[in-house]
Amino acid sequence: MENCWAEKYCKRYNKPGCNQFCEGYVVLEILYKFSNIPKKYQYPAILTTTGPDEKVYKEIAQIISGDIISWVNSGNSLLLWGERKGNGKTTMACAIANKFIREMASRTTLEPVVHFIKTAKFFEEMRQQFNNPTPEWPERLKMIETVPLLIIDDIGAERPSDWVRERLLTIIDERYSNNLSTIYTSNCNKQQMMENLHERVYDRIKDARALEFKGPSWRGLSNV
Amino acid sequence: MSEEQNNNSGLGASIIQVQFINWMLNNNSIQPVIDHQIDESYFPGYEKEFNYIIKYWNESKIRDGKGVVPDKVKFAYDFPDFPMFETGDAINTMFSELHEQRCYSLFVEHLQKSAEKSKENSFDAIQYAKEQFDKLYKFAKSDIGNGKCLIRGANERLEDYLKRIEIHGLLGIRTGDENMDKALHGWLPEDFVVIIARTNEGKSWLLLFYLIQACLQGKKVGMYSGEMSHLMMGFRFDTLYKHFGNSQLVGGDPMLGDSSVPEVGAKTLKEYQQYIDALVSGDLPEFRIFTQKDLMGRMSVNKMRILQDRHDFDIWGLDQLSLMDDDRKGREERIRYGNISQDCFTFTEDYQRPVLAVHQALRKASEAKKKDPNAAPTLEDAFGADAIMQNATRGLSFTQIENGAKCSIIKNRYGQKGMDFLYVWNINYGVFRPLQPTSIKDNLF
Repeated sequence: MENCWAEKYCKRYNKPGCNQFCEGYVVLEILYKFSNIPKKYQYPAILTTTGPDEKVYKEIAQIISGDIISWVNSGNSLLLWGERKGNGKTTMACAIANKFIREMASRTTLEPVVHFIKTAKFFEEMRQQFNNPTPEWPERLKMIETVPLLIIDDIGAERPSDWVRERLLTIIDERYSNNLSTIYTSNCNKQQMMENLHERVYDRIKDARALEFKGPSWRGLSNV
Repeated sequence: MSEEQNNNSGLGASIIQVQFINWMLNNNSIQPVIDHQIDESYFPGYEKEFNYIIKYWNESKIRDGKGVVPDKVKFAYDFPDFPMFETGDAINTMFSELHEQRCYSLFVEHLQKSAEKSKENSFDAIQYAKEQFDKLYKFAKSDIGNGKCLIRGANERLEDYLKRIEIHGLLGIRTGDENMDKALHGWLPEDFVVIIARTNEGKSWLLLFYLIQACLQGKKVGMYSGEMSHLMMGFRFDTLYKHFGNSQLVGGDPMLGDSSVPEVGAKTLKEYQQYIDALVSGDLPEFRIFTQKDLMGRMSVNKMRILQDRHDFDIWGLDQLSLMDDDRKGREERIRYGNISQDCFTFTEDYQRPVLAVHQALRKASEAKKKDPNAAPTLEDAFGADAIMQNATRGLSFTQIENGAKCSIIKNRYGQKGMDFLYVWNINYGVFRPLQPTSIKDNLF
């Protein structure tokens, strides 16, 4: 049995019934498998800080402590950006996703509720599809287009080919048109994003609430 | 056996006549005789026995207002040479065979008379043959039923509805999941249920689970295992029934449980021995597995009929349709699936026993799951799906995801479809229980 995702908050943790057949554990295991969230971001994170990002952290903490299901179902989107790396953009995006997964666990139909894509890797997968299309790819794209909460991590850092950009536009536009919640993280400013993704893509991303991370990198620090 | 019993129609003919008479005695009914206007001519060699039953029935009806057939003991006393035995429920099939035999006898009789006449004048013989065979053709088709009038027969509905109220809608054998029972009303007597899943999803386990639930309700189970031996099926039975670790049983590990999981527990060799002793001496009904070795080849619906007549099972499981033979020898795979599934459905109609069969989704659908683990198989994913699902009364798709599973109703002739049922699902310890969202909510918040 892996570390339980709910060990910080589950009332049954370390009590009778806490095993790999616990219903909560089984559901969380499935939802996290669907989510594609990297392992290190799947567990609860510290949601407070001091310094330049204090306000941004507080706003995200409010989203997390509020009615997250309504927040997602209302189609709220975020653009968590900042030119500095390692200051918690992906962590905060995943913290929102983790809370949403937790809330959805008791409403599950074992369908994906969150999906995480790392932009560079996703572009590479798309390029492979251009050369060697596989029958299962449309199913995956359909899931990315329709999952209630999508995280597109590190968008804008790479300039995609026209073909890849068109596919990305289709995904983002589909979600935008259907009022589906998307959280973007990026190290690019508006200008860089416009250059790399072109206006048609950026035009839809910019409608998301932008929160700028200005703080220093945490990476390499044992405690924050 | 009289000379007439050994006539041209052969031994098979007399067997079906004896079966039919036995059915009337066993079921205290002459309803098929009334429905199909059967007379003594159907029973060459057994006219006396047949007429005796009909006379007895008519006299009792006049006397008591209700017709009954003679008591078996009395009948045996009056006809000591008549073979008496238990029969299955497939009266429609019996009648079809009886009718066919009667047609055969008349056919031969007309042919012989026509041949005789042709010796004198072939024109007269042709004229005679035409008239007789025209009549015979109509007679041969006379076994088609008369249907039922919804207006005059309305009382039947009321009775059925009252019965449904009494048993809260659960008309069939419980599935083992209350929520699924609410949607399906259990496995019904005329159910031909097809469970489709991709390879390695555990569909055979699911089938076995449902059959074990039936067994625990006292139902006799017959199951065809096209791939697994009796022994392996037995170990799976132990796993699903009492959570003995399957890989440990197969691998010869004396520790058969997991102490960290209360519903499994730390099971030992001694516990397994005690369990086996209790199982053998207990009162669970038969749970019989048929493999290809037993059947000298693959299972077919005709073989099922023989086995059903012999064992009188309450429910059947078929693992799986692709490992069955088509009695009608269809030339193409799709036609074979159509024939097998149609024969399965006819089997359920004739015997009034549910048949649950698993069927493999297309390999293409299995590939799709590698990228999208959530993609449940659809109707289109089943090879020969159109033919199979046309004959199925219910269709279920099954998907295993980590230690969970989802079963969806994709076809339901008698109710809602499109419903999903979620389970905690672990093959090794046979853990299979419905997921309770309320329980998750209570713990996670």
